[in-house]
Amino acid sequence: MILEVVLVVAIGIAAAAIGIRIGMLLAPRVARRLDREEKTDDRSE
Amino acid sequence: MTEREPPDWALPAWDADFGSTPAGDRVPERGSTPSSGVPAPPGTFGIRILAVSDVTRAVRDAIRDDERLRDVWVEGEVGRVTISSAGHGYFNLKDDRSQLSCIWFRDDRMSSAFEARVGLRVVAHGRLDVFEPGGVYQLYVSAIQPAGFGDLAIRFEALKAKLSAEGLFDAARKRSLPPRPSVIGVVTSPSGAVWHDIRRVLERRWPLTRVLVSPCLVQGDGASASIARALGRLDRWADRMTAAGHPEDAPVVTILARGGGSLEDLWAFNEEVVVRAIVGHGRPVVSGVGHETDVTLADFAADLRAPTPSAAAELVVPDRVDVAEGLARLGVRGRDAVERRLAATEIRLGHERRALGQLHPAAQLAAALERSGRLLDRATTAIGARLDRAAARVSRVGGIAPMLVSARLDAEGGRLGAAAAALGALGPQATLDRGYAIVRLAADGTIVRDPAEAPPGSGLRIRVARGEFDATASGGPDAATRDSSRP
Repeated sequence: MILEVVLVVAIGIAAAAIGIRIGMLLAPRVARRLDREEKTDDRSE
Repeated sequence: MTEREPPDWALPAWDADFGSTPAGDRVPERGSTPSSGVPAPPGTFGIRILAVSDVTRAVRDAIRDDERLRDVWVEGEVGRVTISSAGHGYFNLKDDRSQLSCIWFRDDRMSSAFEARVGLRVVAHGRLDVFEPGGVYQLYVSAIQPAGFGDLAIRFEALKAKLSAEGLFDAARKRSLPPRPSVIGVVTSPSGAVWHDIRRVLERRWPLTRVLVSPCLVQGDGASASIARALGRLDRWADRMTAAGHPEDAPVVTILARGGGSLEDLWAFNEEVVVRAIVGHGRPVVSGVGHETDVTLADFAADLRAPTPSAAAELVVPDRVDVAEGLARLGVRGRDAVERRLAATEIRLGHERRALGQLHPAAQLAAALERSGRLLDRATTAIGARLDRAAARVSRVGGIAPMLVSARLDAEGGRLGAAAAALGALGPQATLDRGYAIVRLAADGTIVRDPAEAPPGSGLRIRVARGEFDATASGGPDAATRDSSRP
C-alpha cells in the first residue's frame, strides 16, 4: 500500500515536472504567438 | 732690510722745498708734481706728506728690489683655505708668531698634486709682492710641498693608491647595514668621550639594541694592531655565539670610532693593517673617525663612513620616534586598507547574495509564476480581443443575413420551380398520362423492354397513369412486333 502511494506520488511529481518543463519550453512560443496577436490587434485598431 | 737706509724721501724733509727731489730717488711722479700727492697745505711748514698709494708703492718697490723675496721657500701651517669661483686658492701660512697671506693661482694650483688643507704644514715656494689695492703683502705661491707632517700625507696617498688598486675601496664591496640591529659591536677606546656619546645616541634612538664594546687603543704606538685585534675579537665572538646556537647575541654591525685629533693622532686609522682588518671583518663596518673634515683610509675601507662617532651611531640604528611614527602611519594605512577591503567585499557579497537569491528555487518559482501570470493575462486579453472581433463580425453579418437569406431563398425557389417544371415535363408520370404503361415482371419487378424477356405465361405487373394491375403474358415472341427502331 505504501509502495503504491509512493509510486503514485512519484509519478505525480514526475508528471508535474514534465508539465512544468513543457510549459517552460512552450512559454516562448506562446509569448511569440501573443506578440503576433497583439500586433494584429494593434493593426486592426 | 735693516741694513738699508730708508730713502730720504720717506723722511720728513723739514727743510725740503718742493720740486727739488734728488734725481734717482724712487718717488715717482711726486716730488715735482704736488698734484699727484697731497699738497702741503698752507701752514705745514714744508712737511712732506705722502699719499697712501705712495707709501704702498714704496713698500712694493722695496720688496721687489729685495732679491731674497723674489724666490722664497716658506714653511708654515696652512690655515683658513678659501677657493674662489675662478679656482684661485687663498690661505694663510702661520707659525707661532706670524702669519703670511698666500695666493695660489688656478693654473699653479691645478698642476699641483698636493692640495693645501687646513692644519697641514707645508713648504710653499713663490715670490713676495704687494697687492696695492689691499695694501697687503702676500706670497704668490707657485708650488706647495708637504713639510715634515707632509711625509704622512705622502704615505697616506701612496697607501691609498695601493689599497685602492687592490679593490679594497670599491663601492661594489660595500655591504648594506641591517635596518634594526639587535647587537652592535663598537671598536673604540672605552675611556674616551666617544664611547659615552655612542652609548647615549644608541640609548636615545634605539634602546632595544645591545652594544658589545671591543676596546682598543686609538692612537699611539700599537694602536693600529690593537684596532685590528679588536675587530678580530668581535668576529670570533660572533662566530662563537652563532656556533653555540645564539646567533641573536652576535653583533650584526660594527662601529669603528674615535674622536677628533690631528693627523698624527688619527694615523692609526690609516695603517694598512687596520684597512685590511676592516675589509676582512665579517660584519658591515661603519667608521666614525675624527671630525667631519678628517678623512682616513679606514673611512674608505668601511662600508659606510660617518662624519663623527655620534653620526655613526645614528646611522646604525633607526630613530625610535621615526619608527613609532612609521608604525602609526602603517597602522592607519592598514586600517584604511582593511576598511576599503571590507567595503568592497560587502558590495561583492551583496551582488552575490542578490544573484544567489535569483537562483533560489522559490525565487525561480515566483519568477515563473509571474511570467505565467503575465502570459495568462496576455492570453486572456488576446482571446477577449479575438472574441470581440468575432462578435463584431457576427453582428455585422447579422445585419445583412436576412436580406441574404431572403435573396437566396428566392433564387433557390426559382430554381426549384424550374426543376419541378422540367421534372413534370420529362417525368414518367407525364408519359403515363399520355397513355403509355410500364410493364414489369411480377417475379422480380424488372422492367420488360423486350418481348423475349416475358415468355408466355409469365406474370406481369403493369403500371398505367391511374394505377397498376397484374397480367399474364400469352403467345410467343414475334419478331415482327418488335420495335425495329431500337438498336
